[in-house]
Amino acid sequence: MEKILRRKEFGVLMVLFALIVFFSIVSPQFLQAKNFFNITKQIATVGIVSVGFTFVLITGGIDLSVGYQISLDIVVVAVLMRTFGVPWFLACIIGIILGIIIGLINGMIIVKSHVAPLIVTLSMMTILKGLSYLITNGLAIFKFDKSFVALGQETIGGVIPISLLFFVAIIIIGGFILNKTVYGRYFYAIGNNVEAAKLSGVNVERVQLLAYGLCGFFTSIGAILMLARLNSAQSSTGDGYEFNSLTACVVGGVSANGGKGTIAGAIIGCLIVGVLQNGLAIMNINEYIQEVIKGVVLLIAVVYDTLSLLRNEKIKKIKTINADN
Amino acid sequence: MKKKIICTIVSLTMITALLTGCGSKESNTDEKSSTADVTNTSEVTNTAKEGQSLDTYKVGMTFNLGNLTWAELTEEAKKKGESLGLEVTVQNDNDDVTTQVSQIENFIQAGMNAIVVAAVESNAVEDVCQEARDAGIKIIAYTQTIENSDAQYLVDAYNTGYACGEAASNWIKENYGDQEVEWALEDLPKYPEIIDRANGIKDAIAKIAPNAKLVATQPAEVMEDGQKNAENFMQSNPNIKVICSIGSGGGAGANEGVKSYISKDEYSTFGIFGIDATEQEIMNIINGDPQKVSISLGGGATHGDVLMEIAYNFWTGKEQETKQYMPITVIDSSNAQQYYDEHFKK
Repeated sequence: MEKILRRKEFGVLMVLFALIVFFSIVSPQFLQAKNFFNITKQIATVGIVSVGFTFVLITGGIDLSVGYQISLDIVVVAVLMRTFGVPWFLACIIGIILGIIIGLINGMIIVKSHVAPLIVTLSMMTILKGLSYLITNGLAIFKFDKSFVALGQETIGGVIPISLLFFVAIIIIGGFILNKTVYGRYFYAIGNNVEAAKLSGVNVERVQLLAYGLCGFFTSIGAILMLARLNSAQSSTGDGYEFNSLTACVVGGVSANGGKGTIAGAIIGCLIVGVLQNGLAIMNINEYIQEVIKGVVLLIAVVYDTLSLLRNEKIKKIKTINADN
Repeated sequence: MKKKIICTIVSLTMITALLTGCGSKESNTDEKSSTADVTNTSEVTNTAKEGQSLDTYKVGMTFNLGNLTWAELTEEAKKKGESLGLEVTVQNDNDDVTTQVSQIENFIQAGMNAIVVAAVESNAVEDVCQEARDAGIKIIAYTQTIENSDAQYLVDAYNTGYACGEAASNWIKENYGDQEVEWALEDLPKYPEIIDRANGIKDAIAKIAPNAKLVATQPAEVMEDGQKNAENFMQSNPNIKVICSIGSGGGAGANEGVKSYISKDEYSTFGIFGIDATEQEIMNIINGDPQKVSISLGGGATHGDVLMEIAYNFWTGKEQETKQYMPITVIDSSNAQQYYDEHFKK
């Protein structure tokens, strides 16, 4: 029990729990299985992108290009399917490869040039945006193969969205990489102290490259699911996702300075944002008031989480002193 | 040492590039000073005022290309402009007023003869538009009224919304008679023009189908918002039968969202009513989806043509109305195919 209470995600989990309880009381439509699956459908893309984003953040980097990676990915996959008649699964594979390549290019520039990740990925964002608009001329590409659209819109047994299965699979894969592989430990090591990691024999450049590549991989999967959900590709889709993912990660306790955070935390962060949006919309709250409430709740989540951590560290310190005495 | 050498080379390259750039600009100006294509503002004032005597007529357009209709508009404007002999330059303002003001300033500097402005916020561009007019450049306002303009191509926002609401009301009466029907609205209250559209929708339904009850309202700017809203509407108010939207993103998005909530057999019992009549919306209507109507304001391509004709009239000195309004047409299953063939068939 004490172990659970001390877990880094406990604070934000409590905030999520409080939100669910609150919305369940004020709105009878909120606490329904259908609505739960609604929320998971709505946050699937940002959740999957956040998994990749977590890797980059933990290594002390940032990837602001994920929003327009989504845009370019969906546009390329859509063009492959509609214009060139490429079968959807092949188009998706090409989309995923594209995502990995973009991630690796970001990583390569960052590790080789030592330019700040913020600047590199910001520039990449602009490049990807331009490319996406060049391909579509700003116009929509829509109506895809039904079996493809099913990935984002259909359910299994009329209840569980297919996109939720992808979402869960990605969480498991992400969690496995971060917690059960040596590379996961390297991510934390680099984020905590890059010099120490280097001196310990970690190939920092390769690991950073891997983090950005993984981010591109997960982003492209999120993009494909979004394309299937919308059944339409527009260059403006994905705009702002970098900040949505960053918000979700930071709310979930992933440190923007690197070295701290978990996949579970990032997903809880996504759920907090998703539950808030869904609950407020179901209550039919005015959009301006929604913005204020969202800001306040996010602030409370971050402050509460930080205070919980500080309290735990304090308790730990006192226990150490007592043990020494 | 290696770093120093690289730094010196990079610095020298940059200085050379800068000097070359500045030099070429000067020589360009010298070469072109006798023609209409000069970059000097005062000369632009003179040449632009000469109108018909210009060999070329340069038109700048500042639009948010994230808007599907406008993206279509600018593509058509480029084609139409080329056919009329106009040189058309399009800039994406990204729905950011500061970017838009900078773009207009750049257009003035580049010696444009006319600038088409789809204002992000009309008051914010008044001063820079006046600056352009002082330089002899014609300002063509699109969708939003700009006081400091020479021509305006506007949407009658309230009546557009009213037409959407009227179509929804008629559909409600046809399918549900005088029963109390729940409906939801996808609005976007950050733009005054859009607020007028929403008011038009609400007034029409209140007047024609007074038993219809507005049970939910949420903003939708893009398709993703529209889809998310529709899912949330259906969750909070499962008896909703109608969703009206102030634009195409909300309409097309709601269509996808509702389809995940109702079976195909129920499509005829649900009505989604949008505005803008994009290709996707028209296809929804043709396919018998929940989307029943979209209000056409002529379509992006038509607007592109009209805007270029306005610019062309300035060039040739032909007289024209300073204020023109977009046509409002209801597109439903009876005319959707014809509309598609006329506007979108390749």
